[in-house]
Amino acid sequence: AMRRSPREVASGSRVLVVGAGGIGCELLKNLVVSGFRRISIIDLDTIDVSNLNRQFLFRKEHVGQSKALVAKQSVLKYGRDADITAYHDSVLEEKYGVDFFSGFDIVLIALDNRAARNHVNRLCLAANVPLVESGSAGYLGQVTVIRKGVTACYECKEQQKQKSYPACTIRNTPSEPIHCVVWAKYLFSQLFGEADPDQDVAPDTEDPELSSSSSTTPAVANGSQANEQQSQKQTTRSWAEATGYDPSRLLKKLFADDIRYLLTMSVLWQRPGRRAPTPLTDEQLDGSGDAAPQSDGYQRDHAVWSAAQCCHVFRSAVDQLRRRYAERSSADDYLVFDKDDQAAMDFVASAANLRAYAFGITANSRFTVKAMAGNIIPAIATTNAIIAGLIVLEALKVLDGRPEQCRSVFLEKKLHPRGRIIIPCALPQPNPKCYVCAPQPQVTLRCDPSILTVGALRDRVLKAELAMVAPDVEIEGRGVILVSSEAGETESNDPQPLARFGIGNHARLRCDDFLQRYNLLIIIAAADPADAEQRLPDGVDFQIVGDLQSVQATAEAAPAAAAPPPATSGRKRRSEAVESGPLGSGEAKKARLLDEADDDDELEIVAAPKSVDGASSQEPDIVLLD
Amino acid sequence: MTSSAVEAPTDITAQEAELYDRQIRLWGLDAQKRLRASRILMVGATPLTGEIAKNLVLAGIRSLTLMDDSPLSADDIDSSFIYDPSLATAATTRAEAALSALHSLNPMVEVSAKSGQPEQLTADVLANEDYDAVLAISQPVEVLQSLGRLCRSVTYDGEVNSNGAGNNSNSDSSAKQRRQVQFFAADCFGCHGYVFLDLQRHEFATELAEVPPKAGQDSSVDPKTAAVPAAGSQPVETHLIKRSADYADFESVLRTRWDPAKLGSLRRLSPALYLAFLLFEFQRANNGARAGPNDVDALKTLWRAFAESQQLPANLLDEAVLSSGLQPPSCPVLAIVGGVAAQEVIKAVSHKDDPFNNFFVFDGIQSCGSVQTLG
Repeated sequence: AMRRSPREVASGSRVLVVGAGGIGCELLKNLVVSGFRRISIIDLDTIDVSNLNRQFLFRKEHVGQSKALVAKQSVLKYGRDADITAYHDSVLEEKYGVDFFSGFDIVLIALDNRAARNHVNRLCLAANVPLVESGSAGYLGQVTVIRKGVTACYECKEQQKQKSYPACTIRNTPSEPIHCVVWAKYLFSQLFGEADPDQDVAPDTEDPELSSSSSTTPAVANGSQANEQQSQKQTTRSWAEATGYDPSRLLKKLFADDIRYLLTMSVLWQRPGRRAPTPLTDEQLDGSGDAAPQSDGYQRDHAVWSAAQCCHVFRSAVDQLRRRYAERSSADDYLVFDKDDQAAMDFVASAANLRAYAFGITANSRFTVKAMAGNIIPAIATTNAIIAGLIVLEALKVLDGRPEQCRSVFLEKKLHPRGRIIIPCALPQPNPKCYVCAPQPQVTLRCDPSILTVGALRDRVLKAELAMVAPDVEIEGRGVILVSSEAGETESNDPQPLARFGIGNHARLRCDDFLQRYNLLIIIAAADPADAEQRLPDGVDFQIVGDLQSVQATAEAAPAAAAPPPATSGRKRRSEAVESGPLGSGEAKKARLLDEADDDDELEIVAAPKSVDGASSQEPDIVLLD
Repeated sequence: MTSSAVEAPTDITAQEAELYDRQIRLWGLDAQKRLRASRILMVGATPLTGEIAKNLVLAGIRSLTLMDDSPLSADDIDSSFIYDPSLATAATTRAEAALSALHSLNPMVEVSAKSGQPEQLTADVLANEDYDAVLAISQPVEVLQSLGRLCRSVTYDGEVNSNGAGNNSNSDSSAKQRRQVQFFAADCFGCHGYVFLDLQRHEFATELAEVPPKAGQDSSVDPKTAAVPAAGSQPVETHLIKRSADYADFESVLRTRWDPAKLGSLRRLSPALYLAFLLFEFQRANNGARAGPNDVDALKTLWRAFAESQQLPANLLDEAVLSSGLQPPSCPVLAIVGGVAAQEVIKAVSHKDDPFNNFFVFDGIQSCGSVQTLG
């Protein structure tokens, strides 16, 4: 049979591109020039000026407009005969269900966040449509192909967790700049945003480190004003409101009084290697008028402000934000932190640095703080250009009926053995115990059913950790609906602990997301607090456990990847379940950095399998090719 | 990257800081400023040129000059996004037809077409027009040889001044700077492609990551493979060190002798590498003509002779691979090779990070890209 040319393969195929950002623009260009004629593209985002260094289908005049729509308009100008449908919408919407996905021959992911990737992964599995997944960040990138039943799905392997920090570190014992930045963002929320009880900023008297000390009630420090908030059990916001958001009082409380209070928790500061904080002095806090940083935008952004300069910026930012907060149109129209908002970013930068100064941590420029506060991922055009080219190469193999030639391809920064920089690897096999694509997916949920509520099960376990969008939960065997995806039906269940419904150890919950066609069995393992081996770690109120030892493809590098086989022990079954590590942990006391990555492509890179370092005489063949 | 002392205000505008923010956060402000001062000449305005040029213009170079008097053809328009389709019936050159798209990608970059043939370029022309780099794209091997020699014959002896000429150098502010013209060559053949660099003696800065000393270490960052911190984490502590590397000229690379004693490692190299050299041979034997699908037999004969003369096994390059290199270049491969080439140019003109030394090949059958040091 005559082999079709790439153009012939392309012209007959229906493609969906999910995402119209860095990779999406390059991809759309490639598809149109390669001869694809039936293309759909979906993206909920609008164009920002910081996109323009690489998302080349957009111009300055397009800032604020829909990425998907402008991308379509731009490639239509190439004059090809392409039928492009653009959706300015979220792919998580119900209307993009299995029927929608079934209308395509292949789906190409060009997304910047994990939740959407998980969702599209499940829909492609449900619709049995091949998927080419990709990601990029900085100089690195990767492409892989997902085919139901043949390869691993996107969720077969444990994904790198978003970094999170214990509340006590943020509130009491920061040691790194990022702790200060997180604290400053929480402060923003506490003062002007929708306050989250998990994002408290005041000294934490329930710090686990304190309970080991003999003195359980820290003496109130000198001065009657020391921690009036604590004694009156006020929230930070009500305290601020009572003082009219007076910046001077805020500064004194946050960076002097509260620090003094922390110092009274002496056991915290006795730990070797940990440095006790120093309250800022009146001189630093009062800050004279000419302590403002340079007004020139560039210098102001890149200089590291002194404490006095930070105070100056802080005062000015608080004034602006306070006014904005007071003038908001409705009571629950809270301010939301936006890194591109001058006052909000000034606030966070100055507050983070003041806290850093108090704790002897390196201060950073506003430019650097912005990257931490805004989860900014550096991005360039060339990496995306390469990745998008690799995506189309893989897509053509699938569409041309040559899927056995498909590869996972990694773009590296440093040369690997044999001088390789673009590295193909065999596609990973499906994980037979994958909690998404296995025939009967299941996980174990370690928790205390007398504490974990139905609402927490739905929001923190099923939605946040397990990426369901609209879950239903039924107690197996009893026909009792615990959680319904229909609004209002089961709301009254939300605050109730699971135990109230007779859910205890070994209970089985059938969870499903109809849109994703995803059915998951959750088995409850009620942690017995008396049993040391079973007890959940401090501050953790649930753990999701599944067997994540993915079946290793023969070609993946032997030294790097496979987890060691589970150690045998008395309670073999339980240790097997835990051995490979928790899939995800919800931690009531742990602060979570919940921010979605912004429009930039998220770091979703898995390092290419490494071969043995060094001597070329020892090069193992990491690729099964020839 | 933590910032050093605050720079003088003339260096970068607020508009540029905003536009280039995401890339400044990757390669640093110094590198961006050097890019901003770089003038680049591209000989050949082919579809591959379009991909490379798009990336360089987006990166924010000072100027891009395209040299290609060949008339724009329907085939050209069909294979690329860079040519203005409304010029299809106009009598225009490929270089001219690419200008409007490039200009609109980044109006801050000066984009122009230069008429003439590569043979007409002289050392004086290169020096007077102050090019930092010359890229020979999809050019016959003889042109590569002469342009490579030409670039090496130019050395700038000029004062470092602040309004453009001569300020491509590093922060050493001695009055006289010798500066070289960096030479690059790239092409795509079928589903494969190559990028060649001759940077003579190249000095550059590179970041050495310092592993944080205590708990709180961000274990998601492997200094060997990534200088990009995970989202939400703090920047990896790094410090800049200066390095230098020596490059071979194109002539030496052409005369590469494949050492049969190292047959083991020769087998592990991509066959696309041998194919690239075979195609150079073909051009030499056929007056610069590009090999096409009808030349399979001629190429097989040529390969056998070549392999014999170098005492290499003939099966290092088989007919399937050979044929795969004779089709017109495919769009995705143009994008890949274009991205790689542009990134190496960016590294070279910004003197940041180590550019490939010296011959990159992309094998579109294996989806594999690798770098060899030849010559």
